[in-house]
Amino acid sequence: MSPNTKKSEKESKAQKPRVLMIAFGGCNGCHVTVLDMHEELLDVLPHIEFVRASVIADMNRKEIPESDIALVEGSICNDENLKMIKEVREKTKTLIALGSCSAFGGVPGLRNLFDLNDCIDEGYVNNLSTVNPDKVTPNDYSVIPKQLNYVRNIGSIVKVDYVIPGCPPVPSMIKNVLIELLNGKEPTLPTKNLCHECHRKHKKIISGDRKIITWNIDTIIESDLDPDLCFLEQGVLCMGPATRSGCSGRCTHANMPCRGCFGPNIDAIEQGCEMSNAMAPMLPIGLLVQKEDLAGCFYRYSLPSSIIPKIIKKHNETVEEKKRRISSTVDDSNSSLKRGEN
Amino acid sequence: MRIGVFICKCRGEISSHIDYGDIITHLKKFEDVVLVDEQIALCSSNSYDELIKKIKNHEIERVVIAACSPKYYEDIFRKNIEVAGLNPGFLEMANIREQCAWPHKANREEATRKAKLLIKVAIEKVKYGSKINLEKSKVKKSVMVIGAGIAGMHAALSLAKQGLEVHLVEKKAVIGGDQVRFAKVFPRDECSPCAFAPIIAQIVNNPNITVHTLSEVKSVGGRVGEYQIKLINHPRYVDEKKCINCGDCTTVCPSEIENQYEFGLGNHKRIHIPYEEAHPHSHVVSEKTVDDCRRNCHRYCEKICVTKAVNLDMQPTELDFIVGGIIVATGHNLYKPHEFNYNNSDNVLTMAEYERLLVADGVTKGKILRLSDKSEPNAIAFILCVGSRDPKIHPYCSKYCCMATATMITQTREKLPNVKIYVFYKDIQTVGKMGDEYVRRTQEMKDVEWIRAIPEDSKIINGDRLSLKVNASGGYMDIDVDLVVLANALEPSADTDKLRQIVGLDKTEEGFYRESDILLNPVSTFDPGKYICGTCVGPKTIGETITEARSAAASCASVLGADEIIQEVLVSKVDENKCGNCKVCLRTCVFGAVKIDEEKEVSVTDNTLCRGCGNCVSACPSGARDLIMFPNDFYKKAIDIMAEYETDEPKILFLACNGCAYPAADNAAQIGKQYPSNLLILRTPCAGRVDTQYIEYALAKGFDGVMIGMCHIGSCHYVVGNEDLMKRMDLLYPLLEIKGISRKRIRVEEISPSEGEKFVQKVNDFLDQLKPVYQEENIKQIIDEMKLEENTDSAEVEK
Repeated sequence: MSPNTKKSEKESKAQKPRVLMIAFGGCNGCHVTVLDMHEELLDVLPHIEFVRASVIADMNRKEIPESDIALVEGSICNDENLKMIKEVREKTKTLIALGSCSAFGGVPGLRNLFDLNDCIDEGYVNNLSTVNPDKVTPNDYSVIPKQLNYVRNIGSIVKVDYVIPGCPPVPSMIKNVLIELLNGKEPTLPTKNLCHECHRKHKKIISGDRKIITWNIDTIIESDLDPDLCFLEQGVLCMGPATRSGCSGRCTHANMPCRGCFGPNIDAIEQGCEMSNAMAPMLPIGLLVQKEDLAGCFYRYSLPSSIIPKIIKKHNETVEEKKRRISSTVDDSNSSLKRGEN
Repeated sequence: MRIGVFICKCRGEISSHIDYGDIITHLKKFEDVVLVDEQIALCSSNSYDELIKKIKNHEIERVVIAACSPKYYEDIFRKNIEVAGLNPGFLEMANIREQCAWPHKANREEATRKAKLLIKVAIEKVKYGSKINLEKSKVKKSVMVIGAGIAGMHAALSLAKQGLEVHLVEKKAVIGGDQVRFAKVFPRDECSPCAFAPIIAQIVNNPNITVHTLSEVKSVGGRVGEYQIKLINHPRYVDEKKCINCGDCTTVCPSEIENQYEFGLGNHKRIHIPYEEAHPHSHVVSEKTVDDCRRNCHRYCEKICVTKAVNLDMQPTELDFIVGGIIVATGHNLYKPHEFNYNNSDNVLTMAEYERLLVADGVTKGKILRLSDKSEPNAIAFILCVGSRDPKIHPYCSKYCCMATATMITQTREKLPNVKIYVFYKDIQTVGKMGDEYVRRTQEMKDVEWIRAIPEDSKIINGDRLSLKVNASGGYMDIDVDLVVLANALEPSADTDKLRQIVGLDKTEEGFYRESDILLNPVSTFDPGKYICGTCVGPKTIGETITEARSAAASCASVLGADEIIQEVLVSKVDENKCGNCKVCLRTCVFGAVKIDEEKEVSVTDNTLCRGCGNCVSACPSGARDLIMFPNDFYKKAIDIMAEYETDEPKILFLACNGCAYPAADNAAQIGKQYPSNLLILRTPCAGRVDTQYIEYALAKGFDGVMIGMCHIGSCHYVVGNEDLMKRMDLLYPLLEIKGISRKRIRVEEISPSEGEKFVQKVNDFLDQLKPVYQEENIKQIIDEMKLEENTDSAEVEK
């Protein structure tokens, strides 16, 4: 319960902050997380007024009302999203990016690794469960929105005041941010990386005694995992080191490695490079490249906000070249693993 | 912030290739720059006074000096700005001579533009520059000398005489090196044991010297003034103090091993005294055989020993101590030849083996006999340059062989007045005092034939003679001899590489230790407390070795002479608010400088151990670590500025490590090489500091390619920085490739400081390699277009 809820009821009723909830390219899961606050929602509800919240009530989809706080979910995938996020920005005082999609681009952002036309073909034509002999793809953009060439996070389009990361976010964090805002305070995010909150222990490390920490790279189903030992030491790629804390290690507690949904830490620009930098001296690189989907793992939630946020196309790329690129077959000729032979 | 920019004309070396007026008007536009000053030569002594005066008069807070490479005068300028009251960290040099004026002589406009850019980067750097803290530390008045051969012993003695405590560490069971086992030594044909045995005696009797035989250095930590040393003391299996050298154990010992002190020419018992003059003069059991002794022998030696000195169950012990300085004098190995039937005939000997035929206590008791049938040879051939001056084996001259051969010829002639001697040689390389006449004396001897050709083939004839086929002036001829002596090359000892990593030294391509400057600092290393001398640095004669040993000792003593050493603290710092205790840095740091504060659950830096390479900063996945002198923010800003450089050609960012690649670029300019001006050089302390984010960032900001220059693998000044970079690149390449970015845009090169020519060649190669990159979309354009596209998209929507 916030300390300020004792404020005179009448006064707060008169000037209840208007909260808007809007979802773009995403799964609506972040909005459901607002409901996941359960009884704690009651701490917040008396002090706010929802002007638009699709998870709570029906509403006019097109209209965007004026608001004090906007909770924006999802990434910007099509021209409708683009238009609406700008309108939201204009009509709100505080814009909060809720969830990893709006904050970093999220899972939909992985589409940036492909050409838009390939994605549409995959979705409407080539998909195994689709019967579409005439190869009809969406063309009437007066009926459905037109896809953007690449997915973007909200921060790359409009100014974002606060970020609540997570896929989905942590309910208590949403509550804390709202209460801080209602009390006129600056909400802050944790600044450490996930390892700070993870309960898992390291084996004894001797300072200056550099070693590869494990010689096997496993997926979680392959190996018998010690529930109290660091995933990396057991050869399971865990994004914890390059991920911001704040989720209290909910995955690592449940014996699942961190997937990096809280995004890069405050001063780290992007997760992919940070992970390459950190893992290189510790893990067997060759195995890592062979066994893991590196881009899918390192950039699972943050590709659109990384330094190079989308695919750089090759002019006149052949089908083979494309296949090769997508399967990211590794050409080992420049690898340090093979260098010894030269 | 008040910044002063001082530009040096370098007596015309810079100003004749760069438009000074242009630069000065350009600099005056900068907001923070309060003074732009030009000098004819900033390195002249009156310029320093001028510099100090101007800093004070204009109340300058940060200083940028645009002149030559920082390797020359950075330290001196730092001292001078300190005199002017500024912290030495508030200075940055823009290398406009080696990176603009010299390599782009043909293009004044480009050179000027590039100079402007480099000065702008330097101005940014001083803005981010933080104070260099100076830390005073106590100096331990002691030195560890590794290797107790001629160089090590002379260094140790010289140090001990100056009152310093010396730990003399020797891997073998005895001190003295090989030379004491030889017969005579040039250039005065002196009796070798007579010359060097007294040195050994002086070492043994000097109270300041502690000798550690059978010892290996396990680890070296700390820094100049207080190195923490860990030694492993391998057991001798005989208590030196109790052993009375009665020899009973040797008599009863049932098995023999190859005698390494005779270079494998004979055998001795497993428990033995190495040789008569050996110090310490005590029996020893080789660690290699002791396991077998314990298992398969009845321990006769233990049982018979009256003083109970023998104990085959001794275990290795560890010894810790602190020293102020380290001198490495580990000597050399001799090339093991396979040429001239060395492996097939007992009558083909190396020089060291032949020495053992000449000495009175050798296998033949001083007689020159053939080992195959113990008969006196009628003809002997000496073959020089075996393994030396051969690009396939060792490209260098081993320096000792010509003179040593002459010594041996004299001795051979004394012992066998009628023997026919042939000497096969490429050139006679005896420079300096007494050299030429020493060799000429043997050339004038009767029945000594010097033939300027190396035999092309050798055959074993009549079972034990050798026939050498040689192409001399008159065509091919066969020369049959009874004995062949090969003057084999001197090469780095087998442990050089291992010890190099433990002590933290650099090596040359030949495998010898690298001196910090072969011309100006021949015995120093890049660490001010570590010195190298003797044949572990390169081939040399005994006289030169002794000179070098004393020079190393004097240099080391001069550093340890002060009571306190003032050191710059160039460390990696940790932001406790961001550190989540993932221990990645702990696993990355090779110097043991990362410690964990268990209470706060954050990592901390041990300032005494941190060398400031920045490998942990690159590794830190949470952005908590940063390097004081080369911060993250500076690199991003520098890449931003450099990306503004306009050029029609592919634009390359060259991230050059301070140890090797940066001086290599300097070297290219110094030897007059030209390279394209679209190569922009950014200095990093080590390749380990190259964060892969900078590479992506540079590509995103408009660079077409990124080149990373680092030391050769195995020669990193910070031990593993370059290897870690390679591993990081192995992870980055697939990430870039899946984003459609060709790995041809990136090139990692191993370049050493003297390889200026190679550097230019690699740059040109890389430019060729970058050509296909134009098949790809322009990364910068795409990222810039994201904003444009956003506008067009919304425009369409509004329609």
